[in-house]
Amino acid sequence: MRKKCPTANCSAPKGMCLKLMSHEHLKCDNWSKENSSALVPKVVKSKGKTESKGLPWTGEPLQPEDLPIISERSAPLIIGMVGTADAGKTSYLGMLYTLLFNGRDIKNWSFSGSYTLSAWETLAQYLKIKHDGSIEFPAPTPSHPEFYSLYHLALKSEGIFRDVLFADSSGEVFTAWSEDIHDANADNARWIYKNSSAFIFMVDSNALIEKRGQAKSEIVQVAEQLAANLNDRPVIVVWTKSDKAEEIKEKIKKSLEEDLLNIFPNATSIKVSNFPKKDKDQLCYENNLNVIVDLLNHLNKPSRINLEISLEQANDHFIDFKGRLHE
Amino acid sequence: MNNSLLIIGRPSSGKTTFLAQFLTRVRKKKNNIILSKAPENIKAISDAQKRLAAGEEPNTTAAGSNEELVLPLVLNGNETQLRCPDYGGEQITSLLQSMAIESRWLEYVDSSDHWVLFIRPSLISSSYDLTISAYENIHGSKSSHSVTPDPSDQSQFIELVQALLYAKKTGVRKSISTPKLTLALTCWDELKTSKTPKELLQEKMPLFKQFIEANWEQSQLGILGLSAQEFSLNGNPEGSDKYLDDLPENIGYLVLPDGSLDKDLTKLVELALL
Repeated sequence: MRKKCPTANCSAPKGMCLKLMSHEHLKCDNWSKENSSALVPKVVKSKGKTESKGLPWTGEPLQPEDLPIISERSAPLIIGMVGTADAGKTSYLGMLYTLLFNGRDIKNWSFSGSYTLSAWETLAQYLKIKHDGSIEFPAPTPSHPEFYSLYHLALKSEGIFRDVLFADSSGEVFTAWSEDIHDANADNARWIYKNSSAFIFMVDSNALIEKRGQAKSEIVQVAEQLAANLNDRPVIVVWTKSDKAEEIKEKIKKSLEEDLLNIFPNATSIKVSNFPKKDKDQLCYENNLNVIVDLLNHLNKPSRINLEISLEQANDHFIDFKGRLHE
Repeated sequence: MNNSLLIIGRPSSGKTTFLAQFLTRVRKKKNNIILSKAPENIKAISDAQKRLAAGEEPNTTAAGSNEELVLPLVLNGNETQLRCPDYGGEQITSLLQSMAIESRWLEYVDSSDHWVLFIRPSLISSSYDLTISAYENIHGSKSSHSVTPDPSDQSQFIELVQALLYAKKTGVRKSISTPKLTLALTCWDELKTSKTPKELLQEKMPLFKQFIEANWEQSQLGILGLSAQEFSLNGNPEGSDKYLDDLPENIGYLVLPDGSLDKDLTKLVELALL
């Protein structure tokens, strides 16, 4: 049996141990409780002495070193999730999966698979309503510079196939990066910025209500840094928690809209919410999915595809199999 | 071209009862598909056959039942075989838990170009979450911990098919023509529905349905309903009498794509092979 840490979103042993924030997962209690042996066997004997071969994916978030799993069959589109702390980046992804899970569609695109199903399910579980009517949003994304979480969707549209990876990371890391792009603790922000084909820029409506001008200042700082070396990569501005949008002071809202228009003159701006107030709530049921439609429309042009991380060739991972299993 | 047909399903998905009923019918040689010779080993289903003949509910297949059932068949003059290597469904459970494929399964999927996946919709649990309907009075808070939930049935079926395609070395960039995939939505009588099989799959597992429809050529994908037993025999003396009087081979039905019923259970295998 392939061994992996039982902690949600922990990618040990392939990636970093989430609890210790290091690659030394052998020292972690969570790992040692579940795995008496430290080795990850590639070929193991199970009951009845039958040999097994591990799948190349585990269902957990992918790490940058896992990209060959994808890039052997297509050049993946990496979408960087950018925003200040608590802006709702991880919750957005949980809602995206929840909508798909319950039968909502990404317009003109069909779900063709995912190598990170377990990770999506972990995100979606936070949006389940408890008996007391409460829900728990995801715990803050770890701000360790080497923490990577890539969530995968394979999508098809009229014969076009796309592997899409959503790169999540901590808002603190992006704030640190926005103030100093060489910050020693912003490795993952730099990786996401360098490798992403497009960006979802999250604007936290709730922070604008509670922290007002201070929140606006932080948002603009991150936005300006995002725009600095954007080239022609598309950005969509997503106003999260927009069920509260009316509570943002008009002066702050207008000023921020002006600033963002200057910084991202070509960007679409869209409001989303995770709290539907009626059965056909557009902010929740439609706009969360329209974010992806907008980006895919931009990215569905050959010139936009980021080819830098494509390793060898863009053949199908399975067709180009060469008679052996990836272990 | 591998023309054998592989039966796949999780535990309690209705494989054993169907196979018992199927064998009874193909032995009679009255349908398009017939048994070409006596199977070498039918221990996997003989108990279920006997219990149905006696008007009793078949037992749940015991854990650890690892014998493979192979039925040699002839359809339209062509020899083929039906293989059910895991009628208890445990190996499928193990695959999903370990994310590893037993080497014998590599051989099974490699040697079959027709797969029938048994899914029992009444055992599929749906999730209660924010997108099902509107909620005005929900209050959210930030979680202080992180836990891994039990995977949903829907994600498990997607993962299972992805794993089997990987084992078959079949990519999804282009629409799949081989293997042909047939979904058997089993124990249909439990559902009390007038929906077609496709409509029911959309209701129960919309993302899984989207997944298979996106990846398979339409002509190579079948979605059927199946009630191999037609009604429960637990505490049902009238039902038992019906089995004793009318005989098992006359009980059970298939739900075709348009929602119509067909008493010929062998058509499931016939349609899956064509």
